[in-house]
Amino acid sequence: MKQFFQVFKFEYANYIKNRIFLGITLALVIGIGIFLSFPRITRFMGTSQDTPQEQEKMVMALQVTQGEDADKTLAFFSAALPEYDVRLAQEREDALKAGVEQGKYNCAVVLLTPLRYQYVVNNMSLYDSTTVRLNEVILSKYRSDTLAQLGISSDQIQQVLTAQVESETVQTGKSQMDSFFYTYILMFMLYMAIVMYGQFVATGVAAEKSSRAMELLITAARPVNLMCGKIIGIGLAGLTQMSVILGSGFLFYNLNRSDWADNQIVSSIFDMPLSILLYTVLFFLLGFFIYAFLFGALGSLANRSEDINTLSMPVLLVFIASFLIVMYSMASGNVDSPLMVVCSYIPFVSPMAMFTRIAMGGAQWWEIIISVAILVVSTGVVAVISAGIYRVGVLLYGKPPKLTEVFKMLRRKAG
Amino acid sequence: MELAIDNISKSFGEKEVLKGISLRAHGGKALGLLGRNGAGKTTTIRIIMNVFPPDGGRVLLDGETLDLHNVRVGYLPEERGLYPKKLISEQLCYLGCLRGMKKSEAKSSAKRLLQKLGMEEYLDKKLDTLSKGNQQKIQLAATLINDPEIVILDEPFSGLDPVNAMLLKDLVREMISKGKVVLFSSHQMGYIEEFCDDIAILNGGRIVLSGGIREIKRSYDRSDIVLNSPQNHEMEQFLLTRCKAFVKGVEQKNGEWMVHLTDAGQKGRLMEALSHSEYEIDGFRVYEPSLNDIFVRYTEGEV
Repeated sequence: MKQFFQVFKFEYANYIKNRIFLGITLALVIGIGIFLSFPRITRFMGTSQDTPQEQEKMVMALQVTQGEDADKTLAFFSAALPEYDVRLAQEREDALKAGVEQGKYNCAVVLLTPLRYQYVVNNMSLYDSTTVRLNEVILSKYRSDTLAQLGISSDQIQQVLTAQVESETVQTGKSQMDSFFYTYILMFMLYMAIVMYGQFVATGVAAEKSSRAMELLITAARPVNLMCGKIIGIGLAGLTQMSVILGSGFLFYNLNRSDWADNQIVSSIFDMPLSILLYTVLFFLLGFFIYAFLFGALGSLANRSEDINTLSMPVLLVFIASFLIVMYSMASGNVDSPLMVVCSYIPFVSPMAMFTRIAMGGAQWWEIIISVAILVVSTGVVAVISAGIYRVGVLLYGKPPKLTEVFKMLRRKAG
Repeated sequence: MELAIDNISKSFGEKEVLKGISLRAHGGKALGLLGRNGAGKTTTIRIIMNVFPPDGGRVLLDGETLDLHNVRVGYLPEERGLYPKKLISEQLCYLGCLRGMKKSEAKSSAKRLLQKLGMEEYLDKKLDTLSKGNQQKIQLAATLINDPEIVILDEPFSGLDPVNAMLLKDLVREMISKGKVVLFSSHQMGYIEEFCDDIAILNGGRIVLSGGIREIKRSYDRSDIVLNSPQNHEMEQFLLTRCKAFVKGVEQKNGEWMVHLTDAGQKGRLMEALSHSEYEIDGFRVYEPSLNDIFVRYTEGEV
């Protein structure tokens, strides 16, 4: 046990004191800090200027159908489109187009009939929703004109046209709209963390082997202590890093809480329930350990760090496939589909699948317990097999053995 | 203290690496473990270090099964290597702690050892900034960090310059004089002859020869005489005709005559014949095989 703690302490310090590891953590914290303080920074810079300049309005040229009351139409458009400086244009069609092209106007609207118009714009942006707005404006103008012709008073017209539907949603489960963003971010974190820290385990073992430090280590400590100490050391180093990053996120959010009140996405992320955070930690640890033991065994079979890529390919494929299944289910909005229910009990997939079902779906408490129990038991089995491979693997030099040979070796040892 | 290996066998898959070997190493004496590449030396050492268990046989210390928790063992592997990017003090402490030392003990021990090796100033350097020979010395410090009672050195002299080899020789002598069990494996016979009283030659998974070096050498047939004379080139005729009755044959080796007598008891007759001849004699001695000759003789052919 003492030996295990020695290895654990050494490995944990190895990452926590590592300059690159610290640098990346710090960079992420600063990045998060800047992002979350951005509204405050821009506000601060805005007030520091003596005369705050009003944003210049875009110019819209409006050509009215002959016979229409041009001033009335202009007033209607100006009121409905406050972000535009709407001006009446008298030019002919091609002159108007040239005006838009040369930047005299940002855009131009040519009303052809009361319900037909031409929208002239130079470069159509991907997010240009002006036509949608114009449709509304023109339709509402058409309706009010028509109603006025029928002899209805302008007050009544106002009342009819601005009538609003009120609704209230009574929610008995979870709102996927609120939970989607934080689940998405936490899922990504889980994915990145498990792969990254898992790979740390593999490269760590392979580096000890290729530098031949293993020759001394294996005679100084029991292999199972070496392996578990390393995995738990790296796992906790990872958890420390994640805690610092998440913690700084919450800290900076709370410092700037008032600036984000209007932003539903950001506030939904940081107002996530505490239980979800705890589940993240739980499933990170479970997912990390089951993969880390595999990565440890794979690292012990490698001679150089380059071998790890080929050796870890099958494991990574399983992991990426499970990530894609979960992501697809999240996007489709049905995280409790039969596929996801099955996946949430399969050891290598369940850390992400079950986590998503807890966060966004309707996982029952007993489902969570069964899933976690299966995961814990299979992590134990994987750990025992991996420790066996590690014991043999670390002393094996030359071509990495095939999987079948490894199992043969293990069977021989067991028998 | 006596470290004994009793009839150990070990197979890896179909390959039988050790076929029942027995060894005895005593405190205050160094045992040289010799063998060609792949003879099973490293496997034997790894079994002593409990890296894997033997298929049969036992490792005993003073008659009881060796328990690595109760005895301090230092092992210098043939394949050297530590953490290249770590501070030397840090990794020496780590290895000391893994072997059950307290951190403060390991720290002071590391300092003392580096002082002895003349490398104190490297304590807070990274390993990969050192030259290969100096890295080798750090490796040695890692082996001796826990003041081991049993020291196993696999090719300790490879890669050392003569000055560093001297330093290491002094260290080994010191360990022997302190009564430690020293197990020494090398291909450099000169070093083995210098330190080891006993040797064991391993070949094809078996011990083919073991015992004290002096006794082994003495056990050879003492019927070969090495003769040295300023008139070497004129002597062949004399030896083959006048001494025909007791000389089987002669051959010239490194400018000396090697005279093969019919049996070891004929030395006196050869001496008498020479004293009555006109030749001046500079040297007359019984030929003793070198460890190198013995090694080649016992390990040629089979691995």
